[in-house]
Amino acid sequence: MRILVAEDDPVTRRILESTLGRLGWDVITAPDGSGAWGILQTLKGKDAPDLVLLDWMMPGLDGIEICRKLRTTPGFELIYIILLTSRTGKEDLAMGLAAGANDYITKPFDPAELESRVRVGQRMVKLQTSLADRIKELETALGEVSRLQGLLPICSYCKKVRNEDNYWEQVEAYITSTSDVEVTHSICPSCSERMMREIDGLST
Amino acid sequence: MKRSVPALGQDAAPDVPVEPGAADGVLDEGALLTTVGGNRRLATELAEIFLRELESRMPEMAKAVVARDNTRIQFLAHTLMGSAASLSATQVTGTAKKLESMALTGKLAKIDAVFARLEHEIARLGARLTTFIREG
Repeated sequence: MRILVAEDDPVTRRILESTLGRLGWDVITAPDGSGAWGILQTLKGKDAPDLVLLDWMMPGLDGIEICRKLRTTPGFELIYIILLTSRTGKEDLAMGLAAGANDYITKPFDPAELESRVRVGQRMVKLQTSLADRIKELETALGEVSRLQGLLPICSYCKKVRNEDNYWEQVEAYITSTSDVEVTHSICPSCSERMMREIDGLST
Repeated sequence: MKRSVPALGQDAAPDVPVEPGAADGVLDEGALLTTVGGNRRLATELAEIFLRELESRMPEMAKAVVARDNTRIQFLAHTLMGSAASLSATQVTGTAKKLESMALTGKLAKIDAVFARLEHEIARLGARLTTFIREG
């Protein structure tokens, strides 16, 4: 898991970097809020961090502002956010969570507590990722189902089918293009009987 | 036993006596080592970072106190408080917190005295950290 740490105090930043790195996580650090936002913009997409640890009070962009920006920027909505602060009031806690943080650690932090909270975040990230993948699979499946549902205009005489682009095509071509079905040709018993009768009639 | 400690980055400050150990609130070395998982080298690195930062932070704070720049005092005291707390330096943490609170509420009547106390505590902490680094 990749973690971005944004903390302007170099002592705390180094402790966080070392503690989280020792636990096997890939840690990137930023010395202030603007630096953190710049890193997030650069690493957007597959390389983006899964979890960010944001100091509340930083020069430039503070932790709360970054929280709000992350929650309203497409592609960043699922990032797990932990706020770091020495503020301990209930109002502060409520404000941090309302801005979009998932969790909250007060400074000075206990290394064991930090690890536990980051592990909770890791579990949430895993769960969210697997849910997002599942939703994508379901959406794809639903898309395929919807193509086979609804009204299918078919010519009463030649049996051609009108496709989504408004072109009339052979029913075999339509089925092949809208499903995983391969078409083979054969003759059903009643058609076979009718054809035999027609052939007999021709020969007499 | 009392001993004289040098001022920040200096070798002599005979007027500042100090009691070694965690109880005096200057620096709890045991707690610091716990914070860094027993990694003495990292603890030494943190002490060096802290001392380096102080070189610019303290003059900046002094300037802000003279100018009664509440926003700047609040910000600088807050950052110092975070650093000191991470090092388990309770005295400096407490005084920095008091400065931050004074700046936040705008009650600056005693700010010069509190800042002088902070400078004194910083000198003691600086000396202890210098010793800690040397022993590293």
